[in-house]
Amino acid sequence: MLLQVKQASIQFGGLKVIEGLDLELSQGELVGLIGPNGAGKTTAFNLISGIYRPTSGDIRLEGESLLGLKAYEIARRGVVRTFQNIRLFSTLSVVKNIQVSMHSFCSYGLSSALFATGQFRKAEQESRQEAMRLLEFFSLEHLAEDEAGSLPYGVQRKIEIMRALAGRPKLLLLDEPAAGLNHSETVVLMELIQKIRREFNVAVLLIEHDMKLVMGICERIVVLDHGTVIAQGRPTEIQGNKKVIEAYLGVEEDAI
Amino acid sequence: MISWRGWAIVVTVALTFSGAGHLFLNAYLQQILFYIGINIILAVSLNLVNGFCGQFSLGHAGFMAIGAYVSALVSLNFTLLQGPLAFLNFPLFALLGGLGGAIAGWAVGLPSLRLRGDYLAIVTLGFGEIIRVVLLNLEVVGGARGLYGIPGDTGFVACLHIYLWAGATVLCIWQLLQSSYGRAFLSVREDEVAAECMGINTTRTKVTAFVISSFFAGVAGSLFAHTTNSLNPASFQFVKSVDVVIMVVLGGSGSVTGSVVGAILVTVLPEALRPLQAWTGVDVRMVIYSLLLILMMILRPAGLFGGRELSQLKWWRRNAPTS
Amino acid sequence: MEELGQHILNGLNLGAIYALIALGYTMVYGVLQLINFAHSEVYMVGAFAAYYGAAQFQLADNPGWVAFGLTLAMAIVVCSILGLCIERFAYRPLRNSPKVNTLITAIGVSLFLQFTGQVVFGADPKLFPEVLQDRALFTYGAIQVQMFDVTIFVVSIAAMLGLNWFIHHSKTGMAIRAVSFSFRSATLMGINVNRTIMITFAIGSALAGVGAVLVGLKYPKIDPLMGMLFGLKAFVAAVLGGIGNLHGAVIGGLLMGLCEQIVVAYLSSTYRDALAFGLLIFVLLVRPSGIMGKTHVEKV
Repeated sequence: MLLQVKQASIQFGGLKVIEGLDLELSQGELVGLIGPNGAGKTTAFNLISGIYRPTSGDIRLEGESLLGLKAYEIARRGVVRTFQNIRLFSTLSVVKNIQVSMHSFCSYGLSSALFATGQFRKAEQESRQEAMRLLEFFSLEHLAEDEAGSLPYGVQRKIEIMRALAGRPKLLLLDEPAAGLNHSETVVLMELIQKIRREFNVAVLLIEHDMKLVMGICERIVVLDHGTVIAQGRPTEIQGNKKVIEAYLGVEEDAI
Repeated sequence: MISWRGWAIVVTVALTFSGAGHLFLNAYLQQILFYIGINIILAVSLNLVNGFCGQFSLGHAGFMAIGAYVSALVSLNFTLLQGPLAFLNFPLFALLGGLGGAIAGWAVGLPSLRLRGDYLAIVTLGFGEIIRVVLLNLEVVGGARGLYGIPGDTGFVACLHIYLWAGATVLCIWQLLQSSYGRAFLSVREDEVAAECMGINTTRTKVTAFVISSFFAGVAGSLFAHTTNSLNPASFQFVKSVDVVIMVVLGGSGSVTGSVVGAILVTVLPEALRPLQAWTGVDVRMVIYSLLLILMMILRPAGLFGGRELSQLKWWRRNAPTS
Repeated sequence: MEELGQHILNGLNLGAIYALIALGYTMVYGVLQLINFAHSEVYMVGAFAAYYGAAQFQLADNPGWVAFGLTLAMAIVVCSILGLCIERFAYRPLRNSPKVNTLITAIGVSLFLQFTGQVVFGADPKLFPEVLQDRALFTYGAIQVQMFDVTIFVVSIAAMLGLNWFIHHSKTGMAIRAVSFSFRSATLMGINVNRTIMITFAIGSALAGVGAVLVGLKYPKIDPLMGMLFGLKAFVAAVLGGIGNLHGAVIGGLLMGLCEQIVVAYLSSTYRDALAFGLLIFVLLVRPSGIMGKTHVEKV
């Protein structure tokens, strides 16, 4: 069991945004997290990635509790995410954006950097090669030196994913990766996510509104509404689930 | 095995400047050359924190003060090396000054750097002033009178010493910025939350930048002490920190080249203004500088070089020898 | 014991003036999230406006409530206009820039006014005109209450109460509160954000002018650098109370005045000024939101 979220709750002041969240992921699983707007999906990501601390409950990665750890510590343990509103390092080049995630694996110290030793130069070369390999995987190596903030939206989304993968995650959290993409771009993304899962041996938990993508690639789906899980299961099970339909579309008038 | 090319350039430039200065400039202009070198160290080191790491510090003068006083006190009370190695004394004092600055930077940075933008600015301003007020009231460092008779090199050797340090500052910080640590600084500047989520210990990164920056500020302080041969807390007021901020802003935050140019301009400008000052009879330097600050922020906040270095300017790329 | 009483009285008096200046800082921070470094210089200019104005109309020759009122009026007018100019020409162009740019500009304006003041007014201290005459009003044991003390107290409290009423019971006051929550929402509700910000600056600066006249009466030595230290202490008071919070500014101001008085009386006057910095750092490191402030969570 890779990730275990047990009865996690968080409230801001009087508002309970998430209540009693139970979520599990195994190694290499591809799980979708869906729910109407305001259900708390991104907040769930914020809890898992350590930006917020749950007010109760536990979150465990490979059996060890993540509570109280800072976000960067959780990232170093293997939980890396992308953001709903893209948060790239805009003025940095694409390849530098990717290399930032590799800082925690940096094999040289400050003095090596200050004096540009041989060890530093060798490590930098390797780091750049690793970043370029990622770019090649995404067929974007021609954009390596471009300023990240100047690139089109769809490309920026991919850069975010590359940046996350560079952190060598065990669990990849994708927050609405298909937002703003058209039909054909979404299909490409679907293939890409599955390819990533295979090649990088990483579990993926993704938030999405695009049902075609979710139903198309997710092995399992968790449905959130008003901060709690209302359904979990395979795509076919979720599609017909009455509670899920009600959560998205509301209850029929004469049914009340 | 360090990269020798950079150091070769540093030594060559330092020798050239010092030699030319010694041969062609009178004592007064040589003094200005000294100050240019010291200001380059101050500006480049401040830019590391303000420009590259995105943390607005207003207390640089405080770390310079500590470096200056530590260095001065050691040189007044101890003789470190004698005989053939005696020429290493002043570099050693500078190192000690830098160490003093670094320790102070660590002490100030650790609690302060978790504060955001304007709060950090105020806290660093506060610390800078507290350092000054403490020095003002400490009798062992001379209080308001300050310290006198601080030993110092003169002429060619002093100039060489200063420019070797200036070159070292530029080279080391430049190399640091090309490293993973440099990327960490930049990521903190761009988006702290995203940086945290990518595994960057943002607090530690900020403190690292701060400590390195205050080390060099301390070195600059030491060089200042041994150039002016007397120290006084009045030299390290808030206005001094603003001076360095002006150098950084004018040259362009986030550009090492910019800081160097900014330092040169800000040092040289008052001298060019001396005739005006003599004519009006008042100190117009700060009036013009403050106006410059305001206008720059409104009209060209990126400064002269923006975030770019000399190597990135289009005309340089076209005309410079390929590396 | 009665000596303590005198110190408390003096402290509250000083604190009332700090509160007046602190209100200016806090109001601007509330609407713009900007530390208005130049506020202390607006205060300084107010003192000099009163000085030159009183000299122009020879108000010191006929001290009394009329002279005092006219001096106040002049300071208020000059300060408001200066505050409006600063907002319009230095801060407004930077409304959409990163906050640090505006901070740098604020420092620039502050220094510009200080040094220009030195050039224009001369660096030597001047004597504030005696537009009101002091006298002992009554004594309670060893505590002596001067007329100036009462005047300062009454004027400050009146100004603060007036502001409080204005902010909480007038339409413009509500607009100011709305803008301090969110520009966009305020605009969507039909509030003219620019006008509201202008009014905020005008009021804050006017209060600084009032404070300047009151300070000038009690501590008649004025010089172009007087704003720096006094303004800093008022700023610390605002932070202490919770920057952005009006009641906090008042509480912070009174506390600041009391602390300073006690430190000077019972500890040492050398470290009086360091107290301000020490207090500032202490507050920012331990409880940055101040006494009345609320910590806010960043939305990711």
